[in-house]
Formats: sequence, C-alpha cells, structure tokens
Amino acid sequence: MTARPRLTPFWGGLVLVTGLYLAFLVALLGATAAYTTPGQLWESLQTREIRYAIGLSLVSCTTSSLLALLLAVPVAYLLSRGRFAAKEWLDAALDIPIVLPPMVVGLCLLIFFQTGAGQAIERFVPFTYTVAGVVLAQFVIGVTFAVRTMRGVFDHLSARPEDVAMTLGCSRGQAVWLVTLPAAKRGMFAAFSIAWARSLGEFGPILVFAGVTRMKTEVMPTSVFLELSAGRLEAAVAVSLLMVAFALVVLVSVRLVGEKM
Amino acid sequence: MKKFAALILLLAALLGGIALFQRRASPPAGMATLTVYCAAGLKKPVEAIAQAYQKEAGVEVRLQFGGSGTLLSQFRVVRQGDLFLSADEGAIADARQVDLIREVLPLAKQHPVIAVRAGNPKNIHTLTDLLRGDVKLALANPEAASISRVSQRVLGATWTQLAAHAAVMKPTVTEVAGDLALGTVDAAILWDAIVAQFPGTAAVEVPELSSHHENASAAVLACSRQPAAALRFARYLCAPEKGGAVFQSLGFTPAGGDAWVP
Repeated sequence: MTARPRLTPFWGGLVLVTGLYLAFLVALLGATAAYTTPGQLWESLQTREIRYAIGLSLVSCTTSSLLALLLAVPVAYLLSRGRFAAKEWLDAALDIPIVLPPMVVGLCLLIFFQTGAGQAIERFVPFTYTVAGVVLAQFVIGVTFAVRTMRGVFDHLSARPEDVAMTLGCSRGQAVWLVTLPAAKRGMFAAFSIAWARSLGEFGPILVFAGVTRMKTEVMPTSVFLELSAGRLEAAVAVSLLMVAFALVVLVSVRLVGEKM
Repeated sequence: MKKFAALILLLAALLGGIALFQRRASPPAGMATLTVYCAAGLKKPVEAIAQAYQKEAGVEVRLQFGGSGTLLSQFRVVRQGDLFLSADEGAIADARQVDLIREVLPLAKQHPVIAVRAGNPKNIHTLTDLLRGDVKLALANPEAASISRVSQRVLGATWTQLAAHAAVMKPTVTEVAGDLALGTVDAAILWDAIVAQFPGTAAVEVPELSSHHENASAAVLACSRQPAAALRFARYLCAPEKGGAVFQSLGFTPAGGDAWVP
C-alpha cells in the first residue's frame, strides 16, 4: 500500500470535488428517503411480493452477469488482440443495446421471439413472459458493459508474458488460460460488478419482454414502477431504498473479495 | 493548459446551446400556458383537442403523458400544473384523498370488454373461453391499472381464476393492448375505447363486464395558479360539439357536457 498522502492543496482540491459530488448523491437519497418512513420500509419488506422481487432480482442479476462475463471475456480478447478488417464496426455494433431506448430492446426481444427462429427456441426454453426472459433482458444490456470493461483490461495487459509463455511451448489457448486470465482476475471482478449493477437497475426491457407478473417476473425496479403507477410514492421509495442498500452491500463485497484474491 | 481552456470553452458553448433549447421550448411572451397531465390512454383525442383549443382560444396547452397513477405521483411531488386528465375513477379518488384536486368533469364513458385479435381466430366469446388451455391471456396489474381493479371487483372469484391463468401482467392498458396487437397474446380484458384505438384488435362484449361503466375525467388541480383558465379548458374538452365530437370520432363514448360558451 502507498503512504497516506499529506493534505496539500492538490489533494485538498480532489477531496473537495469528490466530497461535493458525494454530498449531491447523499442529498438526493436523503430527500427521497424523506418521502418514506422506517415503518413503510419494514412493511415493504414484509410483503410476500416484494420479498419475491428482491429474491428474483438478486438471483437473476447474478446469473445474467456471470453469463455476460463468460461471453465478454472471449469477445473482449478478440477485440483487444485480434487484427481484422471492420474491427471498428464490430466494436460499434456491440454498443447497439445501450444506444437503443430500453423499451425498444424489450420490444426487439418480444418481436424476435414471435418469428420462426424465435418460436423454435421458445419450444425448448420459453423466454417470453418468463423468468428466463428476465435474465435474457438483463444479459443483453449487461454484456455490453462487461465487454467494454474487459476490453480495457486486456488493452492494458502487456502481451509479452503471453508471448514468452508461447516461446516456452504453450499453445495460444494455454497461454491465455495460464497467464493472461489470472492476470485479468481483478478486471473480471470489475466487469462482473458493472454488469450486475446495470442488471439490478434494468427496467424497460424487462417490463416489455417479461412483464410484471407478480410472484413470477416481478423484480425490484419493476416493483418500483408498479408502485409508482399506482400512485403509491411511499412504497415506491421504500423499494428503491432497499435496492440501493442491496446494491451497496453486494458491490462492496464483490470488490473486497476481488482485492483479496 | 490550452487544451483545458478549450474544453471549458466548449462546455460553455454547449451550456449556451442547452439554454437556447430551453428558450425555444418556452411559450412566446404574452401567451397563456396550461400544464395538463394526461393519461396515456387519452393521448390521441386530447392532443387533437388541445391543438384546436390553442388556435381558438390562444392558450398554449402543454401535455404531459403517463399512466394515471404515475402522473398522480408526479404532481404530488412537484405541486405544479393545472389540469389532470385521468382515464379512470380510481386515480381521481386517490388524488381527492390527498386533497390535490378541485372540480371534476366527466369526459368519456368506457366499459370493460374482452379484447381479442382481429377476426377472433381463437373463437373467444365468453369469460370461460379465456380459461382454455390454448388461450394466452394478458391482464393489467390490478395494483396499477383501474381496468383490472374494476374487473376484479365485478368478477370476484372468476377474476382470481383469470389472474392465475394469465400468461403475463403489465402495468397499463396500453401495454397490454400493444402485446395483443403484436400477437404475443390471444386475449385481454381492456376498456372498449382502448380496443378501438389499436388496429388488429377487436372487442367481444360480455354481459358480466359491459354493465359496469367508468368515466374518464378532467380534474382541476388544487395547486393550479389559474384555476379559472384550467376549468375553461376542461369545459372545452367536455363540450359535445368541441371535445366530445373528437372523443366520439376516436371510438370513445362522450360523457356529455354543457355546450361550449366561449
């Protein structure tokens, strides 16, 4: 660990900028929290539907971000180390899911699964209006962020250790598996976290593609929307605060585990 | 340092651009403006009527769309705006409970129907047909949409069966109607007026549902700083030869207000 920096004007300035931004975030949350009461929070936690939504949110986000990471590692490696024509186009194409309005991503999924190919997939794994659909909707967005993060990680890892491993007799695959991936471990934790955080807040695509069927496809953000649609601000705010709490706990723990490994 | 200065200049230019957009969005000086929260289901007729009113009365009408409940949450927080056009009576009752509205005028009458795809390919004629294994049913969430609150109350135990059989629930009638039009579901329970607005869908009247009518209404907000002007536009919306005619032409049943006196 580095030595603790003295509070020079330089560090002071940084602390000030960070502090102001943090104060803004805290003020936002604080003002929002004023719209609810501890009693309301507790009441929300007691509802069967909300508990289901919390559980489904945590399980589906974790599943979708692990899947996103599994796809992101090879794709990002290809983008970072591969040399091929139209690379910029592939790079830009991967961003399409975050450029599209979220509802449209859901609509695309809904329409695709109505086509011949989509129907054929549905016969094996039904996605439309199901829990699998929730995971798929989160995955589509999560992948984009995981790929971006992993690309940055691979770009910053020197290719030399890998080359050395290959001169020592490793195949390319072995070199990546034995040298590059262990070195990219922290990056993978970061990619997972970012995909997870995105998935937790994911709302538009899930609403359109999976619906908000209570005790079936309801996740925390759609609960918030449902409460808001019913004009129940207090309940909407209570669930939102729970989301923030869960997100903080999970993201900090992932970071801590990532540092330790 | 030069680069940093250039960045600051660019940012200043962008902020200037934003201010310009904001100015263009503001009404011309001297023109009165009404802020109207409008339920998404009423978008088509209200947009047409607001345009006509702007020409006729020289008042700019700013429409903000959303689900009735979402809009209620919005003006509960900001306490701004003049008129609330709700697609159902539930949201009006909720708004009254928190003392947010004053006068309420009925706009249009609607009743629940079974909505099917055009041509009724699944041959659905009764509520029992909705429970068939080959019928994919979509419903609006009863917590959020008044169509389902109403049908739940009217149908009782049958509703519970329908809810258990439903393939999906979505928060608003328009989302459910969209899925039906897209063909991802075979049937839904919707307002007759909504079905009229979605091509590719058709209404099946069933006696259990058609007996219950509910009004879409206009409510003057308690926070309005120009309640007289707000009420004037509300009366225009209801007047049979003005708003009423537009509602009628788009498949709604006008609730019948007083004739328009400018």
